[in-house]
Amino acid sequence: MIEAEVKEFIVRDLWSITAIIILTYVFTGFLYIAGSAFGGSSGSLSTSSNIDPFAYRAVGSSIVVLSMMILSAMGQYIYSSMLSGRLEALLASPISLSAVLVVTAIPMMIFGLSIFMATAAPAIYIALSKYGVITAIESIAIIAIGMIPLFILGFLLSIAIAKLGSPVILNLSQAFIFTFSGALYPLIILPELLRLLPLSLPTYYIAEALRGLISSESQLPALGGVPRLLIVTLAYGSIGSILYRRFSRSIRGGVAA
Amino acid sequence: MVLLRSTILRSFSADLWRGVLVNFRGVDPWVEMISSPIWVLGLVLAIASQNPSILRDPITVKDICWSIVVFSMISDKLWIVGHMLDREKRSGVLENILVSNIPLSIHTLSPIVVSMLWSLASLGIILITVFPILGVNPAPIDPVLTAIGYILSDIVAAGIAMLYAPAVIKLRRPWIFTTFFQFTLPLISGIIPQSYVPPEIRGVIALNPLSYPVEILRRGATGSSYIDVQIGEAFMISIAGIAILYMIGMLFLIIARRMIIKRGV
Repeated sequence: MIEAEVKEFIVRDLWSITAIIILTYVFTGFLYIAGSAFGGSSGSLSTSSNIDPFAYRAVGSSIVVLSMMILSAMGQYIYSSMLSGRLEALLASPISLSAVLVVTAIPMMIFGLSIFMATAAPAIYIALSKYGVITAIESIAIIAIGMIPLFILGFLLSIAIAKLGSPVILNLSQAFIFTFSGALYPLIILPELLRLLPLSLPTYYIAEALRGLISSESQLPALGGVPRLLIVTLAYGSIGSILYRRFSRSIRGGVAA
Repeated sequence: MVLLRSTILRSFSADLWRGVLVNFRGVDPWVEMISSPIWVLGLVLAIASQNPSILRDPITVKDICWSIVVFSMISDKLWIVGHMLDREKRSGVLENILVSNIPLSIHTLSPIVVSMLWSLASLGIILITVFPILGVNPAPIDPVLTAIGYILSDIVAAGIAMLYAPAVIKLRRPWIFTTFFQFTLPLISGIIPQSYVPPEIRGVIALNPLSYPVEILRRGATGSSYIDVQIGEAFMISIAGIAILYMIGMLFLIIARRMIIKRGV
């Protein structure tokens, strides 16, 4: 089943994967050029942070693109399965729905990790040259852990879309993730009341943990952001499992119920 | 002649109403419109984060906000007008439209008007949400100049998207190209100060017909000037740009129609 999902997801559309990588750089370049044009290339992102401004943006853009991809793919999963009639077939099969979801998530995780490594290459290069291979592996591990709450978020969105019977909230959710991810810019620039929003999203903790790892002033990489990421992952996991149980009970009573 | 004119008007009116009803029906467009100021806020903050101290300068923030309004306007045109024929091809109605004998140029006017209404509604929401959140006074310095610049920019952006529409139906994955243009076209359309860009790109900005109405819009909205051009001159170039763009666009659509009829979708 994993092999089938890998073929479905990755092998079928290598052009799209390459395009996503190139477009992430185009997006990062857009932000960098516009940011430098208005704020000057010697802005505080370049002078106060220990990380190169392009690498800072590459990390943020990669996390945002990855999150939006996961939200889009997972968010539409149940709804598109409902429309194509695949959901009923899956429910009637001897495989549990949770196994199907996990198996769907595995190739997406491989896909996501490859995309992240390619799109955040400037930051990974800094980590490699500064601290060696171990830190590069640690950053990949952070992304892998960070993707778990993102998948859960995508699954919760999927339930909402299936219940509403329209993917209309997908664009709204992506706009929300894009703006309040806490990955594209430091939280300090948000109005005080809005700063609570990024704190509720896993993207902020992924970005914090990754930037802490590659922009540490000491000779050793800083892993201070990792425990918070683990707590957020556990919190999302608990909420996800409660809602999944409710949803799987209701879905067996009828797809549109 | 009168009969032909009334047939064209009737076709246009029917097509326009179809476009408005398809695009503005139900809750979906309103939810999409609510999401547009969130995207704009995110983009403005992401750009400003290069040097967060500029967020304390309302003039620069206003400049960035209007630049992102133009970005959003170009995106709307590329996705709504540029992808119009492709959407119809995928939903299998393009053949029916071609058989109905309505010229594609008349048929294209409907998504152009719809995308303009869409951008205008988004602008209204952005002005009353994003500008105040960022502490910027949304009132333009010269409302008349802003309105002229906005209308001209919208028409030119729609013209560029009209040129792009026939190419989209030939592409296998048009979203890749549209996303690419979405981020590159605004940069060469005068949304950033021309003094910042390398001399080679300055030549492209000077040749781009969208740069001039965007310059009129910005001067009216914020008073900032990014391109060294007189307002009257910018206006004349914009009008000439519109005439040339729409003539080429219509020619492309006639060629596309003939090719589709000859070779199929």
